[in-house]
Amino acid sequence: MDIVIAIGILLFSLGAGLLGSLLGLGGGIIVIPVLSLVFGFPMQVAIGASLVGVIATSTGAASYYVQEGMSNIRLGMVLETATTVGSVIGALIAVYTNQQILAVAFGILLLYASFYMVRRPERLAVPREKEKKASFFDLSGGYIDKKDGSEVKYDVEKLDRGLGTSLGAGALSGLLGVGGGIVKVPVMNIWMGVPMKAAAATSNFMIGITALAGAVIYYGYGLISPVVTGLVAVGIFFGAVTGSRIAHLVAGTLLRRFFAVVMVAIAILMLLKGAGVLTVV
Amino acid sequence: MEKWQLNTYVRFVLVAGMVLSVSVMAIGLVWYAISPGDYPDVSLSPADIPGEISKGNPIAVLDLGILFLIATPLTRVITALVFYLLAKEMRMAGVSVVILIVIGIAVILGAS
Repeated sequence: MDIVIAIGILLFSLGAGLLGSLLGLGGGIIVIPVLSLVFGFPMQVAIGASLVGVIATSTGAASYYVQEGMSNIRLGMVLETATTVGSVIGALIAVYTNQQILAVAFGILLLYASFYMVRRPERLAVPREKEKKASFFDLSGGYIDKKDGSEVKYDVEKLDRGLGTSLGAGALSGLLGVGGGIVKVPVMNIWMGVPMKAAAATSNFMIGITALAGAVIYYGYGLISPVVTGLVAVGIFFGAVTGSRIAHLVAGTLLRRFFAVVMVAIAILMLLKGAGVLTVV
Repeated sequence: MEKWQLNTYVRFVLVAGMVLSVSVMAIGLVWYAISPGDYPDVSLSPADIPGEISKGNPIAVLDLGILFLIATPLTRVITALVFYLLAKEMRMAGVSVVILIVIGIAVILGAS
């Protein structure tokens, strides 16, 4: 690989990790269109590289959230039984799918992500009676909110809905190489009654094993390019670490709105690529 | 065994896997950049990796880093399984086994 291209991929991945961390998204949603539209890599290679990058960022972030007690490990593992199945199914579909169709699907995902980033609904958790299915695994959780030092406790409800959606989020991950947090986090918060911070931390915890299930399929099918994947994983990881350290210095709302517009533009480019109008930018 | 103990073990596995895999991948990238040979950007079979590393193939080093990274969340699930078995939490141990079975199926499907 040409050294200029390699440096370009590394720098874009650093930027993707940094922006992803500041925006609360995985780097994959940024790095895939760049690899596909700017560098001209096949969608499957871009998705394979992104999946490994997603494992890197989620592992780094999860280690912090687990230490802080924010991730609900029990809930995460129960939902992982569905996300891993979905991820395997999604990856198997992706390796046999025309890359133009994948580009269209990714364009639609970007449109949804840009909408989600601006809107970000949040439901406040209120104490409720424990649901039987959730109680079966004792999924209740709690953490100390660093903002005011208060202890937040919550019970989990509607586990069946959570498992169903996790299957879909896993399929999205395996199919399009993203973490799926944009689906899981609102579902955990709005349907399952998990506070937003715990939902985001638990989603992050789950992403590693979900992406792994898909990545193994891509690896087996020879769709993991070691150099591209290494550049993306190392770049996204260090970008995300930097982003988490400077997040408090950045006006998040303004950045989210600006980037939502950029994502709509990228979505249009991906849809054009899917329609065969565009090859590389 | 208390819940927080699992958090400590899981965190240790994640940090160790993270440091190891990113370090190996970074070494592989530098090695690739300074290496005079022209190596195709194609993954090697895991069985070929040790032999290729001894021959100085940077792609094998990158593959090793990727495999370490992929193995990290898997090791986290195995850690949880051992914890739940020792804590006699058979329901959560069962959940861990289900995840490992799905990953096992994914490995078989990928290899085939």
